[in-house]
Amino acid sequence: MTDWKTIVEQYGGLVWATACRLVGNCADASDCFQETFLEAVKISRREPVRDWSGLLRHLATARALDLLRVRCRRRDRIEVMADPDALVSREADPGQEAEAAELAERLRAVLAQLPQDQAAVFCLSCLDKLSYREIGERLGVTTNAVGVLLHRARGRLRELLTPVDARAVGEK
Amino acid sequence: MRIRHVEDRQDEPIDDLLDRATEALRRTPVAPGPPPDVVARAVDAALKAYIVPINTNNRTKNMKRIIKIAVAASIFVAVGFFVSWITMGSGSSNIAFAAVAEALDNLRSATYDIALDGKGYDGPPPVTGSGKGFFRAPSLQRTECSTDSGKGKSTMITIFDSQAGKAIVFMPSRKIAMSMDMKRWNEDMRKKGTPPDLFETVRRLVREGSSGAGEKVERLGKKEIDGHPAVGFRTRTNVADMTLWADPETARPIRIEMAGEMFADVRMVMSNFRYDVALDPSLFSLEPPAGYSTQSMNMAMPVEEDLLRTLRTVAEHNKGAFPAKLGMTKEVMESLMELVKPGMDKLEAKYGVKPKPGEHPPAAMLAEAMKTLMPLVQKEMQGIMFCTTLKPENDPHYQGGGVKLGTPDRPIFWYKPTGAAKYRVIFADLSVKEMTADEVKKLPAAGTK
Repeated sequence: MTDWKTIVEQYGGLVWATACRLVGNCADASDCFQETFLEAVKISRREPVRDWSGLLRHLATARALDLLRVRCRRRDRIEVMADPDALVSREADPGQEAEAAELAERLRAVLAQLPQDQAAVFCLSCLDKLSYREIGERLGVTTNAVGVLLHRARGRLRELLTPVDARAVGEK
Repeated sequence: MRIRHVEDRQDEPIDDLLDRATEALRRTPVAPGPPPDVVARAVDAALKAYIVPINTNNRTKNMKRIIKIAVAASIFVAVGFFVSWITMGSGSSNIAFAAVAEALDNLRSATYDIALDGKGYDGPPPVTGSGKGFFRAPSLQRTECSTDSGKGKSTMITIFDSQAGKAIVFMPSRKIAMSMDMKRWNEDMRKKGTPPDLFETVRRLVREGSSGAGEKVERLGKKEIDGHPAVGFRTRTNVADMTLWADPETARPIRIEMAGEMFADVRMVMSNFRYDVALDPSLFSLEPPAGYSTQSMNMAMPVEEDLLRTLRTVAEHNKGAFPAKLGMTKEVMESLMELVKPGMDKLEAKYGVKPKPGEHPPAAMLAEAMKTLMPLVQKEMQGIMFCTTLKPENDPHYQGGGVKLGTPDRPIFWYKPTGAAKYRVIFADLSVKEMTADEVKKLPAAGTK
């Protein structure tokens, strides 16, 4: 029988950090945290889990992306700000810190507009620095497919991150 | 100190902007955690979910689920051209038809409510349901419908891109998705001149009405719908009725009602239309959500051969007799359950599991059942679908109820193919003969449909 108490305690930090970084606030990260482990329970019922770290990182990323999408959909009604309590200052320069926070929030917003698989591959590769092979094994796709998904994700993110004015200048 | 905003970075290489944003997000400092109460809640929830069965399925329900998702997929596809047999309007007196055609052509997006009610293929109690529909020009549609047959609720989401020829149907409760390649279907539809989706169907219908090309429309006059004045039209076909109410000012549909025996007497009402609203592109993503087991299906237009096979299958699994009605009736659905029973028995033997009421079936077993048994059901549904493709001018008749398979010289179904001079008559031994209209008139019960 799976010892869920040990698993939650052992990998809780990883799941929390993954979720918190992506969603940017403690309340959403808490939701992600619970949903990640509930999803892991379901998966463990149908197949043996060999790599808890990889599975939980993937699930936390997927749930966080789901939340970003929901947030993106209601953004026109409710402006969700990063939770200051979730952020711990490391930057010496407050200007740089604010700029980095703005860039991160902008990337969160555009990640929510990507298809799930592209967004997941981007996060696992560029944020978690997993290899193509590791990502492929986790998502059940070939390394080539990972490369293609990442390429598409980066292309779309570039497009979405580009200010409209800059795009217009580029087109001219 | 001035903070540089994203809009100020037009002079930066884009790659650099993405890399910087990625690095910023990667290095986002997070609060220490998780907090103890969050850990405690997660442990508690995980233990409860691990120990307590999530569902109360039994074998019959599993089989029904397989059948239902295949049927639902078929219904979904059918709805795409549900009204395609309908031709509308002598096109004359009505104010709004030309304007409605133009309004629909210029439509960018729409949302609407869906209500379903009917007997359903499970028999009583009645099936009720509700949901939302979304349309985004030129060809994206999404419907989210929850139905309740009295034995539990189920939610089905369908996303359809008619231009790309792709669709996906998924059941969030079971994390099952069915991805459908509809390029062949689209091609067949194009050859038949049938619109590929609901909105295109309505557009064409209105165009035909406005140009006077159509026929057989009943004008319903004016009435108030949801507080708005509306003008109405009704059309009838061999399998369905459709009523459309349009706003006389904006020329846009206010309410569409569709009903038909073919779909187990289910009545669908589309109302509360909202037009040109901003819709998130992710609503129309054809990618299955993470964690879903996905099956693929190739859709093609059904032909007479499909009907012959379905008639045989249903009769063989219905004590040798043809069903009272050709549709998604309880009788037909139970025949299909008999069809998949041997496959389900094999799976039970393979997995060493015989789920009892209250037991949760292994997901791998259900996934394999979906993969191996659902195509069987879907194949048989093609025969039922064939009937839905027949238009009133095809003059279809079914007289097979209770007739034994193999009964000699007993006609059970006849129709006149489009453009053909003679009828095609299917007999109880599943032979097919061509007959003239005069000969068909002499067939038993030729006056009934």
